Amino acid sequence: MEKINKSGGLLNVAISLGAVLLTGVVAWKTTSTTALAISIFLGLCLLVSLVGLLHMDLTDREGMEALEMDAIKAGRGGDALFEQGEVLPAKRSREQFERWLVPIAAVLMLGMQLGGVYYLGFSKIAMVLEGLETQTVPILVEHQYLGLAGAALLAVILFMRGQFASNLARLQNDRLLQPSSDFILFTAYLFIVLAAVLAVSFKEQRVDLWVGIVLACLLAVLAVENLLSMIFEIYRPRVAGREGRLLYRSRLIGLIAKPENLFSTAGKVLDYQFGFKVSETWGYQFLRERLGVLIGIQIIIFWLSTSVVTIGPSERGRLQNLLAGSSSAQWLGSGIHFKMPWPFAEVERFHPNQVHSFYVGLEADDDPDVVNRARLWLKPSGKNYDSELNGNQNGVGKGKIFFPTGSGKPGVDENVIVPSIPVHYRIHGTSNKNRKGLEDGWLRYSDPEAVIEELAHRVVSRYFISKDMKTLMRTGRNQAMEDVKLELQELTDARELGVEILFVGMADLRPPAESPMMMQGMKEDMSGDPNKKETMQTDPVAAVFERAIMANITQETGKTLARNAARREQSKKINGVQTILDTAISDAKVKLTVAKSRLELSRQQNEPFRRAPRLFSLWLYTRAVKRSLVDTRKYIVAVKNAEISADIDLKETIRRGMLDVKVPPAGGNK
Amino acid sequence: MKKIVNIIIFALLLLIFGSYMFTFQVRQDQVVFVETFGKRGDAIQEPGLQLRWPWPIQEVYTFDRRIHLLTTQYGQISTGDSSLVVQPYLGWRIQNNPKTFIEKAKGDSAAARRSSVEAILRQALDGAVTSVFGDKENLIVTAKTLHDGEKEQEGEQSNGHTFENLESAILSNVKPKAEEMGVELMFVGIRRVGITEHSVQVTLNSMVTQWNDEAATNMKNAQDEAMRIRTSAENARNSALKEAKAQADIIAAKASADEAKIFSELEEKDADLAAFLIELNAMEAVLKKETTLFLDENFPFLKPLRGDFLFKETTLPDNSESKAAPQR
Repeated sequence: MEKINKSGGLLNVAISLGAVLLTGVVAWKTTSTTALAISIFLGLCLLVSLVGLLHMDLTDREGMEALEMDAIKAGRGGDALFEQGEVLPAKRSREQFERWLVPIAAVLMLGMQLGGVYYLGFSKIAMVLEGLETQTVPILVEHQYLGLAGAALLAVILFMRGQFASNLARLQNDRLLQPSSDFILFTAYLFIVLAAVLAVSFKEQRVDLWVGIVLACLLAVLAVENLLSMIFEIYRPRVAGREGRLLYRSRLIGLIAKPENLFSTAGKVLDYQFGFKVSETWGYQFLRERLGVLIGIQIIIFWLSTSVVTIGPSERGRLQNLLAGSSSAQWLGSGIHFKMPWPFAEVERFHPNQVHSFYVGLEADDDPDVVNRARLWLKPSGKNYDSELNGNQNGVGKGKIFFPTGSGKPGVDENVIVPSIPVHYRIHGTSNKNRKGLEDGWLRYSDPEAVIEELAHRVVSRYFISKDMKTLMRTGRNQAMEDVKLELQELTDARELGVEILFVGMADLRPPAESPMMMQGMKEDMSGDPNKKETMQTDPVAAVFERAIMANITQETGKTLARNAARREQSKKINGVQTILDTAISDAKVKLTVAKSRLELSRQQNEPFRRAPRLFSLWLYTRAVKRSLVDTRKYIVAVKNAEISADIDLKETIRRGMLDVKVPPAGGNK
Repeated sequence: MKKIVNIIIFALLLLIFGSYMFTFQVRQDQVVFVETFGKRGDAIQEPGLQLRWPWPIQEVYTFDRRIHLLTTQYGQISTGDSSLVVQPYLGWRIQNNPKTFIEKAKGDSAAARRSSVEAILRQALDGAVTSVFGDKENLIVTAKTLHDGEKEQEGEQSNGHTFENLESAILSNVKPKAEEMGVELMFVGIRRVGITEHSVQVTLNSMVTQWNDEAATNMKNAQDEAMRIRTSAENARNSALKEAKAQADIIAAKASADEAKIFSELEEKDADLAAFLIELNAMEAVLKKETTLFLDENFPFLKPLRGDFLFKETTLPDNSESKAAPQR
């Protein structure tokens, strides 16, 4: 007869019920996501305990019935009056229970698991995440002390009961007590986790959300396990007399509740693989028995290690000793320091000498594909560009990337610009008469990084609106860098932030890459006014601005070309004037020289001319005629008293033909 | 060994939870209130470790005395007939006497109480911004008036608003409400000024028109300027050449005069020979190229062609009888 521990089952139900109620109060008071998730697990635990108790009761009645039947059989000497199975109502009840109610309970568990996952994932966690976006100081957990007390109390009670009942069920091989006992032990661990979460939430409340997400995932895994168990149960072969698997028992819960079971499984696998009893060796036994102690020692060593603090070269640490009578902070320089272990003392680190950075406007995209790409106005880039342009899902914050500037033109009210301005600053380590430092400046603020970002946005917004877009985009960037840096420095000094502004970059100022039509189109998606589209221009602003710049470049190029042409004209003018004057002077000189030479020639030839005027004249004449007629075409008419008609072609070639060229005789100069 | 480890872990846990439940710490930048059964005690501002009873006997509220930043949403506000998107911020901290703050702050925890105060400050800030930006009847606050106002500081006289004036107005508006809540207002600023969704389209449209016009104007100016430079250069060249030619004419005239002077040096007796030489030179120059001559047999040099000298005494040719006629 199967061993039944009905009182144990009843106790499990009572403890589960009490834990559910108490956890509900804790979850309600603390508003903790983790506590809510644990209360869902406890609801499952209660259901498992209830089903287990019913199963025990039916099994117990079946056992009593079997005993009675055996007694009757023994008393009547084997009379066959009760041979038929139909006359065993308790057995039939248990069979009907296993056939119908256990699957129904499994389906109910699946429903609870899926419902829990849906509620946690799509309602509670989504709501908390949405709240985180709007809250500067997130409040996720309240009444931590109440929660801590409740979690610690439940952890102790459930651990003691779960540990005892689980071991008892294993020793007595009570398969009906095992599921609820394992579940109770599992929830005890969850309450330890809840206590840790609540303790950490004093410092960081978001941990509650993270653990809540993990538990929701675990619940989803349990749902999958439950579903698979049900599917496998459908195809499981039924063998008469062989006990079926309990659908409400989770192997995963059992494994988490009693991780030492892993050793048994691992031992069997190792024995099979190596061919000898690895599980009986000294090393394996030592690990099995002392693993908890080893892990505990490691945890203690880890905890003790929190009393050693290493401050880096560019760091300063502020030590807060929570046990000291006076908790004025002690400042630690670079090096190794010792302190009380956590949570009795803690060190807050600062990096006063490092360069800190943030962006005003669009944050530069650090995606390597984007970084290595050419930065073009018409190909906008930047982190979250689309969301910054279009706002959130409801269109709130649309056009946030546009900073208004002056237009520089009387008829146009304003222009807009898309900046991405990196700002680098350094926290002043120690204060001096001109500027505050880390202790008396930076730490006066609860969130100094946010303050400096707000101030930088203010300075940039004011500066841009005071300038024309043309000035900012073309000639005034260096001035803008200097002015904004100076103004931001003055403003941070006035707020006594204790920072030194190192750099303000104005390299990435862009005209909008969008066209008016595109922006109108985005609006049409929400409201719709297609008639207005006709009045909107289709050119992107960046393209038009680029066109204006190109016109400027063309203007300059045209001027340069014209100036070059003017210089050429100037050169031509000088050369032309010089040539004319030189020619005139040269001609005049030649004319005078020729005149002089003729005068001289006349004088020299005068003597021979006087002596033999006729002969000398003839000589001069023949020489002149000979020279003159060398290259002329000559027709000599040497016939008298005869009528001759001849056609003479008087055309002259523009240039001399090849035949006209005189070829020197062979032998050359010989 | 196992028991010792368990005991140590248990003792540590007890120590941690005990310290959390029975003590609290006041840091130098904190102010703490302790409520005993709902009755509030005095504010504790002296840093140090303090003892307490655990919940529900005592509840501890710890507040940060440092300067906190509060930024409202980037939201649209009405400015007369127009609208603008503004995002202001303010810096606040708990007053030196924190009694008013703890009385006004509502909530079950310190964080909730701080949030309640921040919510009121946020509403006051939004209200002040709306009031300051929206109630300017004489001059509505727009991006244009802000531009004009900020330019005014650089010496250009025109009507407008400045960030500083608007921030001062907002600060004076929020300050009474903040003091009422036990909060000291440290500063107020305008983080961003932007244009509304509708204005973005209109602005982009006017920008496209503006920069298209500028491009066309620049192109026209460029062409005119280039034309002016070229024309000016050509005119200068032409006038210079004309001047040079005039100068050349003067030089040539002077040379002619000098030449005439040289020829005047010839004596009368040499004039015949000189005239003859001039004629010969002229003839040579005329007949130099592309000349066709029709000569008859009486041309002086051709007489020997007839062979008369074979029959009688040779005589010099008579130039006057030559019928050579140069033809070009």
